[in-house]
Amino acid sequence: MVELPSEQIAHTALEVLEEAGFLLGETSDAARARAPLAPMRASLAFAGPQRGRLEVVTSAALAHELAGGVLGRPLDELDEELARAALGEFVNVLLGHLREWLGTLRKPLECGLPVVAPAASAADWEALVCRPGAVVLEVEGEPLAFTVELENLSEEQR
Amino acid sequence: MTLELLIVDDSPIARAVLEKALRLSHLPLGPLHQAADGAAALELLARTHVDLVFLDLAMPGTDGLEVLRRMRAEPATAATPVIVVSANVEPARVPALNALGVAARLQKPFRPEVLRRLVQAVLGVRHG
Repeated sequence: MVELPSEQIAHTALEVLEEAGFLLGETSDAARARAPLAPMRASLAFAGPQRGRLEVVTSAALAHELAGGVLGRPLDELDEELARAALGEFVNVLLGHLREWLGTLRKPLECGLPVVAPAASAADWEALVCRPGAVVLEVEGEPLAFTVELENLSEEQR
Repeated sequence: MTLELLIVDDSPIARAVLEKALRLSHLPLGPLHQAADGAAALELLARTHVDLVFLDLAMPGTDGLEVLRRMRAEPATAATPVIVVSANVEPARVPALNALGVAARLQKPFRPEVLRRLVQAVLGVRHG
């Protein structure tokens, strides 16, 4: 399994949240034990020199905050479609910023389309934060976790 | 002179952000069209002249590259300037985009002043 530098990718995620949505956060071990209320899950598959999936779970409240921050609109003007779209954009932009750790020299990184759906339950959160390399953040008081899962590729596949 | 622009992106929030940034840009804006997919964009371009297209690459159905190819194959849009807007433009893809006459690339997230400078550079316009 290829290991990504968790500390640096946490820092990158926090920069993206701040730059795109004016949201402030920090890495948080305490947040690991706090499953988000009304959790939402977003994922984005990619292929190229590395093949894998970026997966994010956070609260619907934070997805709304993100949409509000990105658009500069009050939360009561935002619907769930915009919150889902904001979370989808977040995984899209985050993956773009993580590219330097995914290796792009031989083949371009081909990204799929973000898939955003309400998570089935708090168990999704627990499963995600227990994965090796999971990054857990507390953003504007809300928990957010993500993982970058990489498949092992043979030299020929690379 | 005002600018008639088209934003092509499947994400409603990406379209809204770009629209907001354009409205704040002090550029001389005219009609601002939006399309949520490539097919809708091509349909609009077939009946409407626009001065500039902002094009997302990753879209379901007809993706941005296909939109670009079809635009270049149509005399009416063969020379329409296109700015590719994406979070994930691979350096390895740049030659192909350049070959299709992409005027510039806008990396997400972006700041309004970056957008303004880019449009000014591509279209040679000044503040409205």
